[in-house]
Amino acid sequence: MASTMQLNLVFRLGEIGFVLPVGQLIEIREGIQKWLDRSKTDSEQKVFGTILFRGRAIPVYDLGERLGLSAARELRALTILILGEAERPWGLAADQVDGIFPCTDFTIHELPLLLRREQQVYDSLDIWRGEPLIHCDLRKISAGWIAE
Amino acid sequence: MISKIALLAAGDLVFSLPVHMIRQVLDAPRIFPLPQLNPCFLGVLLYHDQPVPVLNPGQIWSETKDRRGPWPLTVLLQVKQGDVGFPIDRISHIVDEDRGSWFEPDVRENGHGDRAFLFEGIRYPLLHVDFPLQPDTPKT
Repeated sequence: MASTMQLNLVFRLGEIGFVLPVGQLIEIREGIQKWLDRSKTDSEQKVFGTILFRGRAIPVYDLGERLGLSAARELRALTILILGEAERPWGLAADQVDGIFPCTDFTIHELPLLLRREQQVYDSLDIWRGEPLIHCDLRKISAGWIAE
Repeated sequence: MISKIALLAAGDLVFSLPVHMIRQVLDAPRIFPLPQLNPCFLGVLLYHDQPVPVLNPGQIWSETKDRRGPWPLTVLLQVKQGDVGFPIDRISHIVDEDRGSWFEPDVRENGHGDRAFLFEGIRYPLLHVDFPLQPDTPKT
């Protein structure tokens, strides 16, 4: 039986796809309206809202805002990915989850040198079913959101 | 051997490119946008399952509108830093270099200018793809 370390989650924000190793995922919650409390929105901290998780409110962040996608995309987030460590979880809003697939379905490539920039939160792409997806590096993505 | 020059069009603009720089012309490849890129790039295309940067013609010529597509063709160019894609509308001609002549701007007059290939009375500026091809801040 495959272990969770050998599986990847594919999710989307607008027209851009992302890959996240399932080992970094704690839980998926669908139906954002049901779970998300937007009264705790904090634009300075980039907190999109909060959700109750195991009896306490945890912050939910908008990766689209972090990537500069907010202006171009309508916020459709329907799913919250709960990530991080069990003692200090946090949420990430996603528009859509495609599913969980074996790592063998993906081929990882470094981002072409010409496309690299300072402050970029990704440096590799996963090719999956003829489509390049952004390989999520949670350490980079959460920098500024989550204290080390 | 006589060099060949490709005369290409993107929107209302025409330009020239030495054929030896062209690796392949792709028929409407899908261009995948990526976030946090230099505006000189639209995203990537997949060529033999490898991600290849695609230049944004609208950023290379200030005269062109920032058009995301669709582009009927994409020229795959071999440059020093690797392959890059350049979306175009059509290939007007491929001609022997000796069928035209090169217009050389007088740098003493204006300090800069576009080198252009003159063919049948039309000036086709030479496509310069070098300037956006320096990584902003290369990572090691």
